[in-house]
Formats: sequence, structure tokens, C-alpha cells
Amino acid sequence: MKLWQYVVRRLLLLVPVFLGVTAITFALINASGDPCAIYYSERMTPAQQAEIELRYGCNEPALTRYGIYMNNLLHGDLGQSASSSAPVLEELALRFPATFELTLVAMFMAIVVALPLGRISATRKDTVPDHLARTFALSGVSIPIFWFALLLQLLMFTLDRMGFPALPISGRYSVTLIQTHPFLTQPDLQPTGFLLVDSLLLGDLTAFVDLVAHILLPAMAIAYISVAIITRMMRSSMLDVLQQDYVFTARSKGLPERTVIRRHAARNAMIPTVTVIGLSFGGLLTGAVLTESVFSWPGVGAWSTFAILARDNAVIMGFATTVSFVYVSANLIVDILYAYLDPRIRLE
Amino acid sequence: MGSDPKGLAGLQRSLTAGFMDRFRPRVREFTRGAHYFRKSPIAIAGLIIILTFIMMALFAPVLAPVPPGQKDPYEMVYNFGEEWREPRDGHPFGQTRLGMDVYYGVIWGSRLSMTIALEVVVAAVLIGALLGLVAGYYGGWVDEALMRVTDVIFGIPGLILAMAILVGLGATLESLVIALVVVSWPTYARLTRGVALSVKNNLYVEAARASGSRGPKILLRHIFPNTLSPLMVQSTLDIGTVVLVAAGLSFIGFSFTTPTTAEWGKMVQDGQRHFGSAPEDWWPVFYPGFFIFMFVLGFNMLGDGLRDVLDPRLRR
Repeated sequence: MKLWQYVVRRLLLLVPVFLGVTAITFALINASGDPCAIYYSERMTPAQQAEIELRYGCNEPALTRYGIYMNNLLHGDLGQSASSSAPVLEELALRFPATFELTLVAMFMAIVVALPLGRISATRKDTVPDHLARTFALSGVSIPIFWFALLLQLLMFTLDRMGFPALPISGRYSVTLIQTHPFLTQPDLQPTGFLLVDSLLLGDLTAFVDLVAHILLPAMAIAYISVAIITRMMRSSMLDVLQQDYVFTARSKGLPERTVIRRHAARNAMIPTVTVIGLSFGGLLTGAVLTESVFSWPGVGAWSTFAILARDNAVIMGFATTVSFVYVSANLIVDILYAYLDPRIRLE
Repeated sequence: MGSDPKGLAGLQRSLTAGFMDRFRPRVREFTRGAHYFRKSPIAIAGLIIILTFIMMALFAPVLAPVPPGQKDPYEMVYNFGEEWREPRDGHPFGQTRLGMDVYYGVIWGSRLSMTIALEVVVAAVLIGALLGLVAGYYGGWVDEALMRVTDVIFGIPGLILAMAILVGLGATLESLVIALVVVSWPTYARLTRGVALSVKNNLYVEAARASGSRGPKILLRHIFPNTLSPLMVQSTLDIGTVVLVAAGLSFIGFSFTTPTTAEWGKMVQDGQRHFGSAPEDWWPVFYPGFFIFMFVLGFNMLGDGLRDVLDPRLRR
């Protein structure tokens, strides 16, 4: 199979998944018995309620409602937040850059830490560094991420008490900067919405340093589980590769061990690891939901937890739908990348 | 034959031998497994942690006696005037916002977590294994349909799907269990399906079919046993995951318990509200979270160890 054929096949397979996901969210929206319950709020006038009824087809039969629901989704209508009365998509779009920036930094951190760690763990199998790396990884998949976030805050608090420099524990930037660096709070002054990038584009180094300091702690909290998963994958795939004939050949033709590890082993061990890195994107999004409110990070995660407390169900449903679309698309990209890196996959 | 005691003994011997022969490979396999298990410090440490939690859950009424007059032991008791008191005699893990004893909550919380985790994992294994076996063995549209359904469920990150289900069904303990089962079963379905696919064309399955065994019997006697090891590993790991996700859902604000229930995630959330302004009061956040961590760690360690023991390829 050619690569483009594979891509087309994977794209077609996406259709039933998207249909399934929307069927689930639609069924859950209707589960309470009143199909439009999640869109109503107490303060609505009868006229507003009538408008909602028309827009979501509340009095139509279920199949028609599903059609309306799908049509709305295709037009970007994810419903309306009961607490802010703004369209869910608008609210999501407003907060998504903060979360995306956070997950990207976390993913970068995870890769930078995990790949060498997995490599060391594999090349020094059953030695002290290996045991330490494995314990570290095992803790990463076992720790409740929100608790880890709180522990990091406690650590910073203690450092601060003892007079050491500590990282800021909440917010995306220091409030003291708002006056002097207006782009932080005004979306129309931000070229991209990703503040780290924006501050560099605007040549604002003070803000950049402040933004980096603020993102480190939440990114660390979110990254830990991915570090753990990627380290384990890298270790086991590296161990696998080190048994291969071509590594034996490379060694026997007298290449230095470093070259063997770097050029021959690590590169090939990367192939299965790439898949895990892609899958860890879902873990990072989940992590954002669990920790953003701890760090007062103004992203979609904190917003969804706020919606849970406010019982703003339309928001949670819209959030779940969007996240799964993003997640499925990310996995698709990873699969294609994988097929590109490892042509054997396409032959299946 | 009765007049020939030697012949009877011989028959008996060959009967027992036949019986023993059938089990000898399994016994040998078990002994070998146990040998490897003993040599795996991680698995043993995990087992010890789990046993500790089992004891804690079983003996909760002894370790943390229910105060007289308290009807529901999972409910913690207010102690007004003792808010945020730090760990000391009688309250080894300190007291919370409402003066509730953190130690009491943590002990009874282990019972609640264990119950939820076992319910979820048992249900998920039963549903997943059954569907996976049938789909893998019979193939065809059943298989295709099952795989598409698992694709859909894997298309939504577990915690997010559980959130949506809780919103749809209402946040109660029952919906929590349902949500976690929905999220967990596809893993088992894919696992058993894979095993069924890979062994269904083996000679011994052919032989069983040729000697007249029907589908259900073949599935149960010849295919299902092959899935036991991977199922055991996966379900051990999952018990930890289930507790982690349940605590997470509770932490982000789903109240499937009352605010005073001894539930670890809820307790961390309750402590965290104060933590932002007064991080020096760390105990209501630290202890429940630490118990979640140890619980999950124990099952992950055992699961990892079991994988090494049960997968013959990894042994060498």
C-alpha cells in the first residue's frame, strides 16, 4: 500500500469513529429525559426558552433531533453555556490557546526527559540507574496528578519560606505586569494567542521570562505521567532493538558503542515510542483538566471543572466532544507519521 | 478383575497418572512462575502494599472505630472548634476544615476505593472478555462491530468520557461505577479478541473441533484459558487506574458522595480549598493523596511484576 492510500484508508476509518462519538454525546445529552435540559438556565425568559426549543428541536422525535444536533455540530454550534450564555465554541476558542501552550510545553519537557532516561535505563539494565529510572516511571503512572500538583505548590511554598527563589504557583503571568504589558490581557494585541510566542514576537523579554516561570510548574505536573509512559516504552523498545542482528553487526564491525547506541539502536527504538508520544497527548489533556484549576491556569481544563461545579452541562458536553475530536485527529497524525517511519505498518 | 489386585492397582495407577499428567504442566508452570515471582522485588513489594490495603479495608472498624450514634460508617463526623488542627495524639493525620479526623477518613476511604475498584474491574472483565472471545473466535460482522465500538470509546480520553457519562446520568456512586466500566471494558475486549484470534487456528483447537466439540465448549475449554494471564495482568493494573480516575473525578467536583464521605479524592479536594491561602495546613491534602498514590502504586507494581512472571518471552 502506498502512503497516500494508507492515509485515505485511515481517514475513512475516522468517519464511523466521529459518528460513534457524537452518538454517545447525543445519547448522554438526552439521558436525563428532557433533551434540552442542559441548555436551559433559571434566568431565561419564556421567549429565550422558545428560541432554544426551536434551535435544538426539543419537541422533535429523537432521530430528527440527532439530525439537528449533527447539523449544529458541523456548523460549529456546540450549544450554549448556561452560566455565561455565550456559545460553547466561542468560550472554548478563547481558552484553548492557554491549554494548548501548556500541553505543548509539557510534551516537550516529557520528551526531553524521557528519551534519555529510557535509553540509559535500557543500556544499563538491572543496574542502579535502571532501578531508579523504573521506580521514577512507576511512580509517574501511579501518582494522582492533582495531588502531585499540590505537592509541587507545597514545595515552592516551603522554598519561599526558607528564603530560596521559588517558581510562581498560580496564574499564567504576574498580575503586576498587566499594566505595563497590555498584550497579556487583550486578545486583539496577541498575534497568536500563545503568549510565549507572542511575547517573543513583540520582543517583550520581561514578559517572556515571567511567562516561562509561570508555565514551568503546571507543565511539570502534567508532564510527569507522560515522562513515565514514554520512558517505559523507550526502555522496552530499546531492549528489543539491542537484541537485533544489525546492532550485533554494527558492534562487530568495530563501531564505538556510543555510535551503535545513537545511530543504530536509539533511532530504531524511537519508532514505537513515537506512537506512545502521540497517545500521551490524551493524557496531557486529561492532566490539564485535573490540574489547571489547581494552578489557576486560564485554559479549557479549569473552565470545564468550573462548569462541573456550576452544573453547566452544555459546556461539559461541548468540551467532551471537542476534546475527542482533537484527540482522534492527533492520533490520526501519529498513525500516519508511524506509517511513514515504518513502512511495514502499511502492508497490514 | 476383583480377583486380580495387581491389575486393579495398575489401573488405579494409570488413572492417577493420567490425572496427574493432565495437571503436571500446569503445576510445573505455576512452580516456575512462583519462582520468578519470588525473585522479583517489585512484585513482592506491590503484593505487600496491596495486602496492607486489604487488611486496612477489612479491619476498618477496628482501626478506626465508628463513633457511637454514627449510622453510616463512611460518613465522617464534624468536630466544631477543632478546625484545621494539626496531627497529634488521637488524630495522627490531623483534622479538616470541619474538624473531621483525616485518619478516620483515610482508613474508611480504603474500603470505599477497594469496593468501587473491584466492582468496576470484575464487571469490565466479564463484559470485555465475553465479547472479545466471541468476536475473536467467530469473526465476521460481530467482530467488525465490536472493533468499531471500541474504536469509538478509545476515541475519547477516559476521564473525559467518564465526565460526560456522569453529566448524562447524574453524579451518583452507581453512575460512577457505570462510567468506569464503560471506559474500561474495551481494553479487555481487545485483549481477549487478540488472544482468541491468535490461538483459534492452533492444532489443539482443530482437534477439539474435529472430535465434535462445539463453539461454546471450545471457547471455554481451549481458548479462554489462554487469556487468563493477560487478563490477570491487565485487571491488576486497572484496579489502580480505576481508583486514580475515580479520585480525579471526585477532585474536579463531581459529588457522587456527600461532602463528608470518607472518599480519598473528595478529601483532597476539600483540603485543597483551604490550601491555596494557607499551605502550611498540608495534612488534609497530603494524607488522602498519599494513600491514593500508594494504593495505585501497589497494584501497578504487582501488575508489572506479574507481567514479567506470566509472559514466558520476557523471562529469558
